[in-house]
Amino acid sequence: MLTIAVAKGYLMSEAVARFSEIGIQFEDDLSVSRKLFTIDTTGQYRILQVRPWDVPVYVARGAADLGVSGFDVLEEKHDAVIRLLDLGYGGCRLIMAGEKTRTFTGPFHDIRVATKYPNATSAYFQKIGIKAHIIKLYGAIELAPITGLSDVIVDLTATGKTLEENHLTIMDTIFHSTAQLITNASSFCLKDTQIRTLTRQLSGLR
Amino acid sequence: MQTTGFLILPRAAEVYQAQSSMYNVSMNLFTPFGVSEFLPDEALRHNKLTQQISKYFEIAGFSPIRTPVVEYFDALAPGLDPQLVSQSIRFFDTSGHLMILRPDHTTPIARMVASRLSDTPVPLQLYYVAPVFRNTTTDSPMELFQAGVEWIGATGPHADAQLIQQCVQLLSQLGFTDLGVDIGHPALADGLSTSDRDALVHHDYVRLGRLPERGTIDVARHIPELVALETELRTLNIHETVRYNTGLIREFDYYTGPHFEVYAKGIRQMVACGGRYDRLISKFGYDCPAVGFALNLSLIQEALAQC
Repeated sequence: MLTIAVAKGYLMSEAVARFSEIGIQFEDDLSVSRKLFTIDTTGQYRILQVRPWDVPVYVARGAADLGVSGFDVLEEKHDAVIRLLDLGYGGCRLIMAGEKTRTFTGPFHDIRVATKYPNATSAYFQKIGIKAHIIKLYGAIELAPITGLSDVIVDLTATGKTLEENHLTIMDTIFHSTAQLITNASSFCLKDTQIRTLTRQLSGLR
Repeated sequence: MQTTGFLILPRAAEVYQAQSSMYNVSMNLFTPFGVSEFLPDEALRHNKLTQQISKYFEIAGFSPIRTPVVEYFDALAPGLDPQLVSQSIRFFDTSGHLMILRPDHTTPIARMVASRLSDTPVPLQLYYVAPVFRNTTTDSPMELFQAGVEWIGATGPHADAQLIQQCVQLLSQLGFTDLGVDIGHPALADGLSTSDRDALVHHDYVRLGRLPERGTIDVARHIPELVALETELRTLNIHETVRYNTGLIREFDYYTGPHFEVYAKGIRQMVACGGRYDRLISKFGYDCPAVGFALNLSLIQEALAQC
C-alpha cells in the first residue's frame, strides 16, 4: 500500500479529483468528514489529510510514501524529500508587498519584513544584497505594515485580492509556486515500480 | 524484560512533579537529545548485536580498529567533505585548539592508515563498531552507532562486489531480508549540465525534468566499471538483489567508483551505504585505494527492538 500525505484544503480536493481521473476512488470525502485518513476502494492507496507545513515532515520521515505539497513549503523547510512531479495546480506566488501610500525607491538596508517564510525571505534579501530584519508571523501578515510592525511583507498570494483590500501593492515576485508530488529515498527504492507508475499516470493528466 | 508504557507513565509523572516543585533549584536530570543511554536490558541487546556483527566481520577476515572520539580538527580536515564538517560537533580545548568529535569512521581510519600503517603490506581489512557524533537535527540524533569495514588496498570490481555481498549477507543474518540495494557511480554525472547535476544531487526531479532511470545493468551500460561490477555480482549470484540507479550521485566527490545504498522494508531510512574511495587516503599523504561500507546500527537496533 502507498500512503500519501496531502495538505488540507484546496490541494486535497484537487488531488482527490486527479486520483479519481486515473481511477483511484477513496471511500470517504475527507473535506466533509472528521476522518483524517481514508483508503481507496482497491485497498492500494491510503490518503492522509495533514496541515500544509506537515506534508514534507510525514514524507521525509517515512510516515508517508508520497506527499502533495506546495513548492513554497518545500522551499521554506528543506526537508529531505525527493521531488517527483510538478502537479500544476494550486498556483500562487511568493511576493514582497508594501503600503500603496508609502513610496519606496526600492528595498533599503535594515528593512523590517514580516513573513511566514523567514528562510525564503532571508535567501531572497541575501540574493538582492539587502540587509533585512525578518519578523516571523503565523498569519494575517497584511496587518504588519498597516500597524507599523514592519516596512514590507513577504507572503503568498493567489489572486492578490487580500493585498488589494488591505491597501498593499506588490513590489516584487520572489517565486511562483504550484503543488509538487514528493517521496522519500526509502520508499522510492523499495516501492519503485508503484511510485513511478503513479507519477507517470498523474503526469499524463497535465 | 520489556519496559512498557504502562510502567513508564506513572513514574514520569512523579518525576515531573518532583522536578516542578524543585524548579527553583533548577535540577536537570535529562540527557541531551539524541544521545543514547541504555538500561541493562537495552545494553544487553546492544552488546549481543555488536558481538554478532563483530563475529561476522572477523570470520570474513577483518581485524578491529579503534579511532579516537575526539581529534584535532586540522588532522581530519583534509579528508572531511564540507557537508560532514557542517554537521560535525567542534569546540576549543583549553589551549585553544579546534577539536572535533569523530563525525564518521572512514576519515579517521584513513588518517590512521596514512600515518601509522603505510609501511604495512596491503590489503588491510579493518572493521569498527562504534558511535559517531553529529549536530542534532530533527532527522538525525547526536550519537549514531555505526558498524562497518574498510578494505584498504583492495582494487577491482571483485572487491566491490564482495563487499556488497557481505553487506547484504550481514543484514540478512540480522533478520533483514527484504532489501533494496541501489548502485550508483560518480561517472553518472559526466556530461550533465551544472544545473542538471545540481538538480540531481538535490533530488529535484521536477527541475531535472525527468525521473532518473533505475533498473538492471541496461540503464548503466555506458559505464564500464558498472558493467564489470555486474559481471562479478553475477558470479556471486547476487545481481538480482541490486538495481542500478542513474540518479545516485553525491554532491562531493568522495566516492571514486561504484557506491551503494541499502534500504530495508520496515526501516524508514537508509540502513547501510558504502563504496569505493580511492583518493581519500592520499589526502593524508599515502596514495592507496580502498573500499568500505557502514551500517546504521542505531536504526537497526531500533527496528529489531520493535520486532
